[in-house]
Amino acid sequence: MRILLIEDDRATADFMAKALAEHGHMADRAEDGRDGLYHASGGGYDVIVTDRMLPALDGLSLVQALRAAHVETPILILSALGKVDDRVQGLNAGADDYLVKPFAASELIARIEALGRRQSRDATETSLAVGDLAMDLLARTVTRSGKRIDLQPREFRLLECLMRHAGQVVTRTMLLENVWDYHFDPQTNVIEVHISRLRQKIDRDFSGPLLHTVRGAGYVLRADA
Amino acid sequence: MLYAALFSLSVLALGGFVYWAVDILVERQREQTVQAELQGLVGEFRAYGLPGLTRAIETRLAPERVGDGIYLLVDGLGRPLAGNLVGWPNSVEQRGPWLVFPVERRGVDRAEIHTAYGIEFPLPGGFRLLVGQNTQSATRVLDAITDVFLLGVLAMLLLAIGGGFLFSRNLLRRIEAINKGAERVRRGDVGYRMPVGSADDEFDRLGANLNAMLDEIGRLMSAIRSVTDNIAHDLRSPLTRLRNRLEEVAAGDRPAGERRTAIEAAIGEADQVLATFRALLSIADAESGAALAERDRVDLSRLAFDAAELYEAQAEEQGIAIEREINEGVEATGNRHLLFQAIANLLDNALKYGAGPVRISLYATDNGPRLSIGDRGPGVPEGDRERVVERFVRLDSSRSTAGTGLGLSLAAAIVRLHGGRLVLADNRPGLLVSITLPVADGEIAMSAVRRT
Repeated sequence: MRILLIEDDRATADFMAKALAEHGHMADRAEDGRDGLYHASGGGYDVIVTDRMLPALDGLSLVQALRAAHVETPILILSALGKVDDRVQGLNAGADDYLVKPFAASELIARIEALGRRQSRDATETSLAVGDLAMDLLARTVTRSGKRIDLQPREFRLLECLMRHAGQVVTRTMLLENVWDYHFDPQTNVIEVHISRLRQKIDRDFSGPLLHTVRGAGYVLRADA
Repeated sequence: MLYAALFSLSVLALGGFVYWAVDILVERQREQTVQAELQGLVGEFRAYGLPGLTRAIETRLAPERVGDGIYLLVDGLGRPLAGNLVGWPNSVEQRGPWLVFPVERRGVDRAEIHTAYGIEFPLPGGFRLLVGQNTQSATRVLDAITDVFLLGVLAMLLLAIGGGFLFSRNLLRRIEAINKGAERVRRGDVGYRMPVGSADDEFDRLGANLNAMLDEIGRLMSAIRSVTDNIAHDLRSPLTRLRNRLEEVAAGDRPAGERRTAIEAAIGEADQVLATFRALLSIADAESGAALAERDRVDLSRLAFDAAELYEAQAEEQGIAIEREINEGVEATGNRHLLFQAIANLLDNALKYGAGPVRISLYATDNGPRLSIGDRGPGVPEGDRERVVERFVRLDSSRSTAGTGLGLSLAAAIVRLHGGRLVLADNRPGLLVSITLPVADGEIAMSAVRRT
């Protein structure tokens, strides 16, 4: 994917560009808001990552300007401003995701990839499939190798989220936000138990595990182990 | 000074009014007396003729009768027949029916000229009768009033000026005392307190208020100091471990697998430090009150249900049951993410430090929604219940358990931010944490919150 990084702190920008390159993405860089807006308006990017406090033009105004100009590229705001209201402001301005500094590289990559994927996803999908695992979104049923798997509603949503991001790392906070719809800081890894339960249901009685834990990052649903 | 002047002016005005009123009263009195005298004398004349009239005038002028009466009876040629005037007055001023003329009377040691008022009454045969009164007594009364008032004003002025001076000197002295006190505190004598008298007047209350403010500042400062100490202490341990692990990695002569483990452990330590900072910032945000710019209607029942469900899987792993007693449709006003954080922290604590079963209950009361989370663990001794809500306070029995020591503080801060109360109680056995929130606002414009 082609990513535009708008970040005035060089060390942070270097760190992000390197991490993106390691995951096979290309990153262009802009060091202030005006330059960023210029590049972003040109289009051709899959995801835009922008800081909030930028020289020349602040991140929020930049996002608003892009949205006003009907540039629909997914935008992730990256900011040290991490209050609940800051987040709401960022999303209201038109950003698609909001990540608070300091962040883990894995979290950033996971979110960027999720945003890039969101763009290309067909919104009218009625079924999802990863390997021999199939999900019917209308009937709300899950089968693996043709065998029916019974899931609790929450487990279903958890699996749906993972299947929609198949092949990508999904972090714990992403799961909390997307599956539970709460943005909060769990003191302990409450997600882990839910994942291991789901794993028991979809992996235990079948050959070839699908649900993998990526240490220090999150989880990934992948057919080829 | 201004007050003294105003006061004197008003006293003078009052004096003037009294003078004027007395003057009018005296004049009316005089007119009535003169009219009555005249009628009486004319009556005598009609009954007994001239000799009767003369007799009557002489009776009235008898030495034992004192008064200001003036009588004069003259014949057709103007010769006085009776009365206490030597002759018909020369310079007479006519004022309506009244004649105003000067008379000479013996004063204490010399003759005095007074103004007299009289009425002339012509009698048959060219005789004329003059009845009047001089103003000697009236003038004396009015003079006395004037004197009294002038003296009064003078005394009052002196009193006002003197009293005002003393009063304002006292006032300034007390203000200066407070000024000096504030100066002392500002210069670093933070333990100094303003002098407070026993009068309980404005100055005493000002002093008491300032002292209360200084006490509060002192309390906050020591709270901050203890938090800073705690931060230093609680961050030093993970930072030290982080440093040690990095040193191990830097030493370099280890197999790749071990190095990787050491680096991951180091990242874990760093994450721990960051988590602590995040929690601290969240508490600070909640306490500053700035985080609630956006307020929504929150379905508390949903929150409690979701939190119970989120932690249920983990609880089961620990062999602890989470009992739900959640009433439907209980609402609050605020931020759902923050409130969820608070509930999650309490559940997390119950699972970490308590023992099963853990019960989460939610119901609406007249005073607003009430959410309780109770466990059957060792609980918190009564004396420690207020303390454990503070940042970083962990009871010795829980020191070994992983955690930042901030979960309960954050929950309490969030509840306070929402205008509610968090109370710790004995669950007999175990700990019962109760959150009471204000009744949800009737009409809250749903702000456009986009959710990811």
